[in-house]
Amino acid sequence: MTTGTSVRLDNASVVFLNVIRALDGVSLEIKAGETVGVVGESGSGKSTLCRLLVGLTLPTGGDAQIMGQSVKTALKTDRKAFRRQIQMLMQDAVATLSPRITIGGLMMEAVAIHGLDRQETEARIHTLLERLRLPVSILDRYPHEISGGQARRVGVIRALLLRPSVLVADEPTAGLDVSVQGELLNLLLEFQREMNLTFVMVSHNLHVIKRVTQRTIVMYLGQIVEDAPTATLFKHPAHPYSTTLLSTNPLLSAGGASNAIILQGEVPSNAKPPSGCRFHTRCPVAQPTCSKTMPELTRTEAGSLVRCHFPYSLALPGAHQDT
Amino acid sequence: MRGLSILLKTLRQTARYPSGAIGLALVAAILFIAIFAPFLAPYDPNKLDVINRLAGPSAEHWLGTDQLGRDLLSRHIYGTQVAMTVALSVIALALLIGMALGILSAYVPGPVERLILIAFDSFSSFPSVILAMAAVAVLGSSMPMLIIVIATSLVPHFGRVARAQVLSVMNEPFVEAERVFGASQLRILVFHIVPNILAPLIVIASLDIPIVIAIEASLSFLGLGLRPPLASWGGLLQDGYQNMSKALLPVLISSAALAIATLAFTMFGEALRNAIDPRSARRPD
Amino acid sequence: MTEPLLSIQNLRLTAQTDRGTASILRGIDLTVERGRILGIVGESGSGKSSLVSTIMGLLSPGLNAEGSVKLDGVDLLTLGSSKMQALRGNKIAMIFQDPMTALNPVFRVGTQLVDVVRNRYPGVSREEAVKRASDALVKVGLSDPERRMKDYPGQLSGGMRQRVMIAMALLCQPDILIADEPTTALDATIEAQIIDLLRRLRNEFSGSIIFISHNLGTVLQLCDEVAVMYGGHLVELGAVRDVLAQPLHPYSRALIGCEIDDQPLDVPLAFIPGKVPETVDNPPGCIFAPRCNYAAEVCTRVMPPLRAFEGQLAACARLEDIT
Ligand SMILES: Nc1ncnc2c1ncn2[C@@H]1O[C@H](COP(=O)(O)OP(=O)(O)OP(=O)(O)O)[C@@H](O)[C@H]1O
Ligand SMILES: Nc1ncnc2c1ncn2[C@@H]1O[C@H](COP(=O)(O)OP(=O)(O)OP(=O)(O)O)[C@@H](O)[C@H]1O
Ligand code: SF4
Ligand SMILES: [Mg+2]
Ligand SMILES: [Mg+2]
Repeated sequence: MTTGTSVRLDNASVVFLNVIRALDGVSLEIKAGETVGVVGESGSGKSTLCRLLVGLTLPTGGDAQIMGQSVKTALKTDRKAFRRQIQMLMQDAVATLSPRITIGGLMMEAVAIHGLDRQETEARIHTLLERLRLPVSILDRYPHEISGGQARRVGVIRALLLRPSVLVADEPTAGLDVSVQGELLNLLLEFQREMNLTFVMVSHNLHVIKRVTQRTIVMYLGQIVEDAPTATLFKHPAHPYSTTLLSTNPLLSAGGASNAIILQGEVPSNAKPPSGCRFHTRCPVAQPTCSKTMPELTRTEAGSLVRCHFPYSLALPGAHQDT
Repeated sequence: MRGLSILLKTLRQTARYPSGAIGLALVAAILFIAIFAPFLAPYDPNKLDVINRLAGPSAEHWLGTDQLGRDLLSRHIYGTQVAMTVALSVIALALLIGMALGILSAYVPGPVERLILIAFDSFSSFPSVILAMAAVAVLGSSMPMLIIVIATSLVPHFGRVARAQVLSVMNEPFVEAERVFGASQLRILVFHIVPNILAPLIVIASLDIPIVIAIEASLSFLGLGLRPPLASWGGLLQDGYQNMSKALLPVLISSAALAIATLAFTMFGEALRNAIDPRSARRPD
Repeated sequence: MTEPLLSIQNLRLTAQTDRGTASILRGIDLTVERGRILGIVGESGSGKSSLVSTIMGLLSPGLNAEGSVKLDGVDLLTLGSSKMQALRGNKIAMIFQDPMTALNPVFRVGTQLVDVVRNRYPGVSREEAVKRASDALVKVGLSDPERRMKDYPGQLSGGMRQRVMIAMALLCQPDILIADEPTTALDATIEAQIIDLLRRLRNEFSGSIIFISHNLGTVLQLCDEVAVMYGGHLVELGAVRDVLAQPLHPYSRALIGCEIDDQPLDVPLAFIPGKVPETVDNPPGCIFAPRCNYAAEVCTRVMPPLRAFEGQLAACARLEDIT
């Protein structure tokens, strides 16, 4: 097994319609076998980042590489091999299933497209169905005849059939009840251990991120604002935005009560991002310099990368510190 | 197997409301008559009976005879066959070509797209009848020629809808998901795009059938369509019209046949449209 | 006593499939009082979305509903489709689980919102409708509403699409609002904002809300009562604090036991082992018996009905033995 670089973004940007800066100079390196969580506000560019990795969106600046090869080149030279290497679960689970094909038919596309062994694939489908608590009869149904959470798991099975080395999952547990969610994550983690899978997961569920990932990337308005080992981040978030984000995590044990830091001010538009630090318009600890110069991603002593002039100046409120 | 059950389900849906049920029944009857015309018609449609010219209804001739003594019932039964042959061939041809051009224009942006769109625009700026008349006048009229000419005039109609459908389906998340899964462009087109654009095209096809029937009848009425001994509704209408002063019935029968056929296909097409869009049921208006 | 706003009696939902009759809902009894918020939780695929689609009269063809669903005394199941259509968007509105199925991809967001307003309030002028639409977008936390109104659904991020749908439902000011997992794609901050919005909506219009969610913390914060579903049955019903703090039904217990936030990090995530029920099977006994830790001989005979026990309702034969 290699421990080389599996995913690499080099100053990658995505600009839509010439003005909308969905991603702005994102650099990132993920080692093979790593599990990385991506969190951040709605619209901060998480899905765009995922799409960049699988080549659904091409960078308007910079470069995206998988296993040392630029995505663009990989798609040109050997499309199918590239697809087997990296798979993605998209955010809208139901809408990603082709409506006129049965679930069984969609899964067996792995055989038709990639020439996998038919019998072996069928056997794996059945094992995975059972593992993810899906009834077998689902194979005969059409996508509009299954539930939202079932659609999500069908997508997972389809991706795993190809045994990818990189799995990019956009909200893989959305719409699943906690019991199935647990089983799905166990399955993905097993895969990860056995096959050295690189696993990039976007999620709004901070409990899941904390449980499952080794490293977490926090995004704000198209930029990475913090990139840290998950344990470190949850204990000592360096960026003020990370702190506010973590403080909102509702805890069932605390009876649903929370002492969240609520951000003031409007969410800025990514078509007209604020000057200096993008977060300064809402940052509780902003100083005059913040609106003038944009902070660079810098490494702190604790090993976190953070984009802030005054890291660690906003601490987590009490209830969240130990959990 | 699955296709058949979907077809049956759709037809059942179509017949859920009275107008759809009536349309479906009439369409079925018309197709039945067209297919089994030789067995249903009591006489050879071209057999002359000079003694019984322009006779009224009788036991031998239920609908009477025309100016040459030919049995009107038999002529209308064969006329149904002619009308259906022309209508269905035209629709099939226009659907195929329109779909191909529509898909092409959506897939290949640039000069190809522009050329196709210009062709669509220039063709549809003339009414179909005028276009067909001009073409027939230049190229002469035979059944294949007539079919090609009318079909050409309808191609833009199908082409535009196919194009719009492809453009909207192309960006649906499931198409992207198929790409990520490794499906080739061709595979995506054949298995994932075409099946999802077919429904509206089939609806348009059924709504266009009455138009084709009307165009063919008008051309034949004007003498630009199918040549006389062949029994076509337009030709029959013309014959009846010529002899209207002597006998009113023939012209009424031909008009009725035309009216019923167009109405039947329109009702059927509209019910089909309501039945076929599975997502309209889930989408809150 | 006044009549409840919504009352559902013995609701069954079946579909004919190649493998026989599938029972999606197996006899649901449920009432929602005016001004109350009912949460529905339960296993993915247990029939939550099907239940609310039946209330909305939005069943896909081929599904067959029996029983009664009364809104203000009017049976919705026997109401014609055109009358039902008139009710939707007026008296009842729904936020769909899958935004892409509810938003039309070829119309701009603004057009769709304005249509909703003008459909609900035919007297309202265009400008007024546009203003209300843009206010609603701001309320759900979307900045830059002018730009968002011009966007097509495909240009929005997943969380934005979801919020557009919420805005749409708010514009209707319905008597009863059905929200099917409305916050799965939203981060905790915005989720909190939406929850607050829903609560205000209930207070301002004394409407009722049915809120489906897999997030037990959110259910706890928002709802008055909660219903737990499993395999097409309602297995438990009661005040939200009671049920989540002290679940009676073995399924509810297992489900709540899977909640992630208080599990230690080093054990695999909890899940409920065993096979999920097939909709085409009709086992004679309790639907949960094959996976239940407490199952005994009595459980294999008949499906136990919902019955009162310690102030809650639960459908289990052994409540006395297991508490
Ligand atoms: N095709 C597109 N055209 C124009 N703008 C787009 C397009 N796709 C995305 N955007 C914009 O890019 C920004 C980032 O979107 P993205 O989907 O990456 O967000 P996200 O972080 O995944 O949010 P969420 O958590 O809500 O899913 C948004 O402002 C969105 O409106
Ligand atoms: N048209 C249909 N034909 C056959 N089975 C169906 C049909 N629609 C739904 N089902 C099945 O009925 C069950 C209930 O589905 P439903 O969507 O109501 O679940 P849900 O509780 O909303 O789940 P989730 O939490 O995953 O959204 C599922 O097992 C589903 O596969
Ligand atoms: S740089 Fe300034 S404004 Fe930006 S997060 Fe840090 S303290 Fe806040
Ligand atoms: Mg997203
Ligand atoms: Mg659902």
